[in-house]
Amino acid sequence: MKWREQIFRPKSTVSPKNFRESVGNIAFYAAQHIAQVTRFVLQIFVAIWNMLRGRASLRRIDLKIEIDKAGLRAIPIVCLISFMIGMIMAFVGNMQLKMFGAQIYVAALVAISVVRIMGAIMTGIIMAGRTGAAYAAEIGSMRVNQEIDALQTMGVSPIEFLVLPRVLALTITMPILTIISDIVAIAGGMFVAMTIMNVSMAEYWRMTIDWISFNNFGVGVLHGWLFGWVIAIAGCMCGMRAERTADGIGRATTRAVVAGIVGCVVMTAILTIIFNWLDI
Amino acid sequence: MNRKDVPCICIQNLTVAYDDRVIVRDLNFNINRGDIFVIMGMSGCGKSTVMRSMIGLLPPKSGRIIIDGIDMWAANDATRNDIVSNFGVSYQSGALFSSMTVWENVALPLQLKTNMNASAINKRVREKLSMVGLDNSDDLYPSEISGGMIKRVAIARAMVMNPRVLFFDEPSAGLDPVRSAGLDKIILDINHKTGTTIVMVTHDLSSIMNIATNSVYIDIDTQSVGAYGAPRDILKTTKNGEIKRFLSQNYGGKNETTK
Repeated sequence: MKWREQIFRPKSTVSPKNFRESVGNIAFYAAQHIAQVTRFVLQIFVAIWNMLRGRASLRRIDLKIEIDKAGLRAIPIVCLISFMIGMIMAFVGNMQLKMFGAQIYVAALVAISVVRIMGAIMTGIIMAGRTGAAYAAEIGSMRVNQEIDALQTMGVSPIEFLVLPRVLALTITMPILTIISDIVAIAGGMFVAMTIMNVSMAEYWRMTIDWISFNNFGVGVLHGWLFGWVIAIAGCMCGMRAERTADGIGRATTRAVVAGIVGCVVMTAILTIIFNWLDI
Repeated sequence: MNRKDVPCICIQNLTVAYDDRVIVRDLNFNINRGDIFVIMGMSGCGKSTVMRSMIGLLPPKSGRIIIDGIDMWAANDATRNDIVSNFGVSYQSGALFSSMTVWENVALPLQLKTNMNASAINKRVREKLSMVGLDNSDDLYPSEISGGMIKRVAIARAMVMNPRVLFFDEPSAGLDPVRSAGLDKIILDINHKTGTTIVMVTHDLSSIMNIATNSVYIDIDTQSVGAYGAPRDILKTTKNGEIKRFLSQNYGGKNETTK
């Protein structure tokens, strides 16, 4: 069908005649995409290097604004979702552990899963949908409005002026948001334990502290920090490559959210293998 | 040879394309120092694309753009950045940063690219805003000002680094004839007071006839130079019906072509 062809056929290729050709096309586009991402990441590192030497076109006020947008203003939604997830985990854990008379371990279940990985993943997904999408839309609109062209003709690097403050803001705020998410999710679990399981606050808190190790905490915060990089890079790159139409901004925003979430999951898989190998 | 004798911008056999789609081919023309030079032609003929190539945003497929004797696209990035830093560009949409006030928009190039102190920046920004007749709009955001004011702020920002060449992309697009004439006057004033070379992309015939000292007409069919010279001279001498029609629609009236 024509619409299927329009949706699934890569724009600049002839429709593949055989399996080998289509595999070749996919490999070519994948390689091209990886090269583009690598180039973009390298440009960001060059911008960071320039910033450290005091030569980047970065205004402190922009960094403050971005930290406020990506950090402070994200706290309410992160808290709401984390509290709910903490409650759900405790509730479901209680149902299962009740069969073995081990309800007291609900605190350990919530604490370990949230602090080690779930807090970071929840925050990552929220921030990919909230901030990653906003980055793509903001930068994409600036592209449509020729603001990026204007920067280039002023001799200002758009990577330094637009991308760098956003990447720095998210890499600074994500670990903090992850810690906030951990605390609030534990509070959600505690709320369920106190209201449904009749466990006292002191007992729940003691169990939680007993089971959280520094390794788990560090792994969670590291996840959050790396997710900040992934989401910021996905959002900014999709914005910088957006087509100069309203439709193009919509597509860039969608791509930023999908790439941010997939990136977080892939990063989690890689880190899990590494930490398992290191026995952490 | 004296630098004044060399054309400010020399376009030689310029072909510009988006991927494999050629937009203009084999353009040849010179822009002299102090000129108000207009690149004109029908909508979609590639005027803005040529300008994008001239200001360093779009590499040409072939040919040369020579600025003050240097082929800008054969030069390395640092040299090209140096060349482009002598340009000021006012875009069709204004391209103001929506999160910044009028003052901040104009001050931005000075804050990022110079070591000027705050009071010197403020003095320069006020001077440029005053030149475009915007003395009391410092704290307004682009969303709070009119289209004509946005264009004027964009001109002030383009001028703030005292560039040697000012580029305007469709400066009068979306403006009524009165505002458009006001903008023409500002452009003329800048040219007369500062001697800045001005390159303007437009199809607004009243602007072309009122302020241009030299021009090139890009023919949409041949994708090449259709005519080159002062617009009034082109109108008098051209034998090309299309160009004559284009230049006489708003100037001289339609009767001139139908006679």
